[in-house]
Amino acid sequence: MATVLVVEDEIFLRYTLAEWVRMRGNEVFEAASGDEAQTVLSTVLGIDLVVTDVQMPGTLDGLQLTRNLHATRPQIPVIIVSGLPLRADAESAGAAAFYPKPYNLEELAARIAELIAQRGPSRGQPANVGNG
Amino acid sequence: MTIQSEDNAVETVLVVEHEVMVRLAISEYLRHCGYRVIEAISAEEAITVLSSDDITVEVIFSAAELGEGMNGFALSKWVRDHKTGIEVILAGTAEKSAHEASDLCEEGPHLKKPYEPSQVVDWIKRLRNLKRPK
Repeated sequence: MATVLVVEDEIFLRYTLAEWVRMRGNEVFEAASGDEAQTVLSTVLGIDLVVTDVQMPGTLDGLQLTRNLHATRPQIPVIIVSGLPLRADAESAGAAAFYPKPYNLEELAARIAELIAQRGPSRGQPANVGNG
Repeated sequence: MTIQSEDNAVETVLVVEHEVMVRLAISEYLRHCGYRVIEAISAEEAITVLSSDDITVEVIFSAAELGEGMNGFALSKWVRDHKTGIEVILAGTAEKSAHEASDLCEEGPHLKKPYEPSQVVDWIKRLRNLKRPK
């Protein structure tokens, strides 16, 4: 079982994706903004993968969250999802994958499983994710 | 273990809490106890869920204080005015909750923060058992 953090401000998208990943045997934590994700990553041990939206309320968008995580915990793969054409930005931020919205849940879940299998579930230290 | 109602459906709890680590902890505990859990960060998000025809919620577990926007008491009033058959459990600090409740003529919170997660499950079971026919 892996631990996945889903970061999405739209409640139905967040709930649907989180339940989808849970049903495949993973533990899932939910955050409604980049700031909430930062709190979770700084507190919870052993996040194996992050799926994040880009445009969210608060001080930290999904691209900055990805940059920070890539700099401090590059072993945690990040999948970025967005309704905006941000594939190049996602790649330069260090994302492992980019899915435009609306995404196919089966495809996204398969990619999550693939990245987790590549990395292997582990119990690491809390991520030190800053705003910079 | 799953918590199932008499028609054999897993019961759904809508957790409304704006502090992410509190929301995460209580939601994980309730899932561990067998409930399906939907997490909302605000009363407004909760109302979005409750207004959907696709999701049935049996119990709402909400913080009394929810940051900006509607508080838990206002959410409770909205539920009473717009929905039937949904139990609302409020948790909050006694002093602030009493002040907010008096504005809305609602009773005070059922649980005082910090609460034990098991207290939430006990409340849910108690409320659901009260509703079931003897």
